[in-house]
Amino acid sequence: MKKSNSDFSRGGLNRKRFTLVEILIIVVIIMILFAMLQPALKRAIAQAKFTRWFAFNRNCANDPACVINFNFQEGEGDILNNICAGADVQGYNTKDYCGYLRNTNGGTHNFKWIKSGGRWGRYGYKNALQFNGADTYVLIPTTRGLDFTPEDDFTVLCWVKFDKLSLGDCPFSKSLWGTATDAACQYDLYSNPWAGSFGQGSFDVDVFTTCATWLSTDVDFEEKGWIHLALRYQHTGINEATGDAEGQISVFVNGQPLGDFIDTTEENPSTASATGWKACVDLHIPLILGGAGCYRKYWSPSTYDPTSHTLENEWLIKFLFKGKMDEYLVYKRALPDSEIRGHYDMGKE
Amino acid sequence: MMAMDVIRNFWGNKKKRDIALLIILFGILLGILLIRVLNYQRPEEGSLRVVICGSCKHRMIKQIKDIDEPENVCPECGKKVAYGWKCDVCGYEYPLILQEIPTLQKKTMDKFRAVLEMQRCPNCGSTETHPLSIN
Repeated sequence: MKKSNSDFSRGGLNRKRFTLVEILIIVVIIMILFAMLQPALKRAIAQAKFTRWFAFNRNCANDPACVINFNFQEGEGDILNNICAGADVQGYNTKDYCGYLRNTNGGTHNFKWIKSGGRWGRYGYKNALQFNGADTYVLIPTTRGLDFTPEDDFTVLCWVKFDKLSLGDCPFSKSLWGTATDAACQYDLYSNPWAGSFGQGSFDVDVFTTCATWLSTDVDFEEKGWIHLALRYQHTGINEATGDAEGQISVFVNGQPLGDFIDTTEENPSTASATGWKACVDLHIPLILGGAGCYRKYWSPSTYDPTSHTLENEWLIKFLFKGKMDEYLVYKRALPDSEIRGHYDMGKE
Repeated sequence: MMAMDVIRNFWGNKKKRDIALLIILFGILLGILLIRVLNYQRPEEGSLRVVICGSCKHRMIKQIKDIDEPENVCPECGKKVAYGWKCDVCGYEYPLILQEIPTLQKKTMDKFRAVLEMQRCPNCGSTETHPLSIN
């Protein structure tokens, strides 16, 4: 016996169709389940990424070219522990390259450890150190393995989060800035958001006597988010005319090279860059995180004692960094592009 | 009895029952989302800094991430606050008003000098100044 259409629509053959309201109920139930599961899923993803980064970071510490590896997982205390297993540096002792949290005024430091304040911090997996831009800096007192010359190769990598990009905020430096005719620098990096259009360019570096700036980066990065910065210097040979060692400077933001820079030394020869770098070695100028080293005799003559030749008397910290840092590494080799990209990939949120 | 009849009649009507169920489930979904929003803790940002009002010179310590954010105003007069700086020579404390510096193709010393000029003490003209510390 043939059934009519009306029999189907009424479910006469037990082939009932779902109504719109019933479908909506199912959708809402799925949404409820997803809303309940989402935090756990995000936490699991963050934990997996953190664990992968942590293993990678420990592996980097075994590289004989890795002189400094701060992973900022202490979460408290006055010392950044260097976790390198042992670098290929004469007389290397890991503890000599620990970082000491200091105050430019000489008193108790005003650093703030932010537990769960680093990458993946929302899910409780990464600590970070907050630099206040007023008086905080980290001192690495031993210079032997960090005194790079133009004939060396080296790479510096860090994860930072600027409170706000402003001119001169210096995440790291090994420098002795002074005057147009007397300034020394081995390497530093600072923010320069006013180069080109605001937010473009954004970072300048000094390596020996070269000051490099970029007017545009072609690299997208979130200004207020975590940024992976890498500075690489690769010795390329000796200039036959001058006899000076030459090298190639590269800066990477979030694993991507910034490309050719404007060499302000050539573009603007009448103004000042670093006039040398050997003074940093002779005066045992330490590497610092969170500021730029400067000559006290030029920058604060009222506090300078010409009869004293201690480091504290010769050197002071300016251009303090405002923001967080949660990883810092120094290698005494030029990492290839792919390895720098790998550092970024392993550490990105 | 009357109420039970109303409920029985309501529950017996499949369309009404489904709509009631949908509304209840929507309520549960909204509740979950509301609890998540209310429990969300913003990660701690910025540092404690000494700031000084650019207008009335009121001095205070405030958690600052970006000094240019509109909420960074003086509780006394409602005007914008700025980072507090101090002159090493005359001891004068003042708000540092940041300006944009054209730094195109300048070298580090020039840029740093330009920043120092911006930080110059308005009282004695010295560039030997530093940010005020909270202690």
